[in-house]
Amino acid sequence: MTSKKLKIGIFNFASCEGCIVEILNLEEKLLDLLRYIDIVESRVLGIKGNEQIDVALVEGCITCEEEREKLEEIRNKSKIVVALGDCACSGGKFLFKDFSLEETKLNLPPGKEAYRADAIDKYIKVDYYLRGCPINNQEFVELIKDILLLKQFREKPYSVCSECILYEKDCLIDKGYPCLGPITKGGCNALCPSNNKPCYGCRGLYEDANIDGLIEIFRKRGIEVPEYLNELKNMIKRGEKCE
Amino acid sequence: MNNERLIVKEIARIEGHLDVALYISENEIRQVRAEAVEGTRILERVLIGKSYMEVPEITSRMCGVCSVIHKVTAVQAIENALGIELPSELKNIRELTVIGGHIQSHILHLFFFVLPDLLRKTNIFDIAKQNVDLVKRVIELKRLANKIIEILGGSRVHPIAPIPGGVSKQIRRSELSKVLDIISNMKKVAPDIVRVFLEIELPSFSKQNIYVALHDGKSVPLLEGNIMISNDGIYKPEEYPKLLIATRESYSVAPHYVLAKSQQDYMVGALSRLNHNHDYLSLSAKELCKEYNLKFPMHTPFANNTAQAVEIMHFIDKAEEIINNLLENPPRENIVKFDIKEGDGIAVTEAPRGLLIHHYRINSVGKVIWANIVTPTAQNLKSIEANAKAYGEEVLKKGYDIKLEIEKLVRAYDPCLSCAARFYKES
Repeated sequence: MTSKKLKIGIFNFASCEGCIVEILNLEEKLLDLLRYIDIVESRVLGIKGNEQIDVALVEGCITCEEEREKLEEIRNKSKIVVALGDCACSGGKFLFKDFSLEETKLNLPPGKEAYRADAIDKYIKVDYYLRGCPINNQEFVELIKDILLLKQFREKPYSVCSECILYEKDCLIDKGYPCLGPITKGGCNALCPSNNKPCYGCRGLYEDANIDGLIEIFRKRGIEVPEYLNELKNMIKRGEKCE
Repeated sequence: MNNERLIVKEIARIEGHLDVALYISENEIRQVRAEAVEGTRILERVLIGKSYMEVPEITSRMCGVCSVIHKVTAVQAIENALGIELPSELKNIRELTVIGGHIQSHILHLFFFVLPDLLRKTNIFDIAKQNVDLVKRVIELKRLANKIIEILGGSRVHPIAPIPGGVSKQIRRSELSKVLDIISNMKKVAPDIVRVFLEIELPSFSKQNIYVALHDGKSVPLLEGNIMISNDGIYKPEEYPKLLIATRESYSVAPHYVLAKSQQDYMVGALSRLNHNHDYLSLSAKELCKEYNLKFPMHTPFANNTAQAVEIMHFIDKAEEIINNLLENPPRENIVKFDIKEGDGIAVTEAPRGLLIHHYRINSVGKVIWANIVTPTAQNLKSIEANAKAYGEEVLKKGYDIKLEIEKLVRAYDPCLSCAARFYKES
């Protein structure tokens, strides 16, 4: 490892800023991490930087032209761009589960004529994705370690369901809940099911997701099938990006 | 200086994006505009058609700093719509989770956002370079507050456990004991770092404002109470639509609120809470006020930070009282049974940043047909404009750096534009 610290920029667009809060929630660990990284730009933290950036952490979705331009500037001055949380990864699709809004005509303030909530990779190349709402801050530490060690950060190749089994939690589908764990990307340590609440799917679809299979299981067990699953299927049929 | 338009752009160290434009001529400020420039997320629109169970999940995402109170307020509004009444133990669990959220939010604002101003630094890590011990203690207190949310709420940001009808999981006795230990530790760590804040002198600026906060005549209420307005009166939560009105400004994506009767700006937040409820502060918070000669009511937005520091002490004492109650009387069930029915539910609470209103109408199958959310920051925008005008004129006379001073004033309100920016109209 070189002695130079990794230069980090933290940027946020339309979002709740909860992912940045989760990074700050590393508490003492963040102070340790600061031996290897330097936060060189962040409006939230009051760091006005203007240098080249090694790793840009981008939170939030893109809702207007001005934000798109800013996003492109960030890409141009950064070696690595990381999408932070479901808003940046998918435009908040998996959390808000509303696909019809894009067609809704809304009367928004000047400069915001149409409703948009775009994932950042609609406009720029994204190197890594930290999924979830909010992100799992341990995954953030893993990502930084990997970058420092010149390794590729890998997303978990299994579902939330696998994590639940790993931690020997009771199955919520068995209890009659419409849990989306079987089709959702893992990496959150099955946080919601561990708290006795069905997975809401905020990390997006995992690569081998079998939506039809899950609908079938819900039907067999008399669990009301969330409308959202049918919308997801339509999206896949239309060839839209679904992760 | 003739007809100048000065814009304080993208104010740093606040949640979300806010510009403040000052229109200055001949050293007089003619107009101030608080321009919310955050990307609008139209959350109330997203809620339409969603199931009542999804509402708290979505509204919690209004703000990552105060997600606990957004979640709990939505849950309470839904419960009011469905006519669900919780036993006091479950209410206690909720209030304790909320207190954890308020303490971590106050610490984030005071020490990460405001303290750099007072120590003439640009950020917390700069402070750490000189006084790492202070920063470590601040972080420790934040960690402890977060731990309460984690144990009772399931996760720190966007807590999982609060749901309509109760909490999603059974809280074990061992978990309650852990929370008691955490609170005892907080009592050790907090006084010193809160003092750091109280010892620093505030700018000498004073202006009479109208303060609005919950009031119940026996506590500093967070989750239930009536709406108290200075020089006016005390009203039931259901009366909010006739008390406050939203105005739409062409320059802002957030609604700006004024009082319906007088059309005047007003302030919400820690200062408003303590100006109305200082008699009910805990003993150690009162002692702290005495030690630093703090006398509420105070009349400057900068005192909002002082009030937050005092509240940290008060909340810790309150948390201790609640956990002792809970250990004596732990919840027997985590959820109460209820039926889905048509209803209209309002919940008025105190977010860290002030009065928060969630209001939903639900149809007979439990789907949302109408939603309205009034956030603290949206209510404070008109007050920010009025106080920036008054303070800005003083600053111009004294020849201080106006941009910096306006930033400081705005930060004192602890604004959160992520919460406020949601304006839209169906066309």
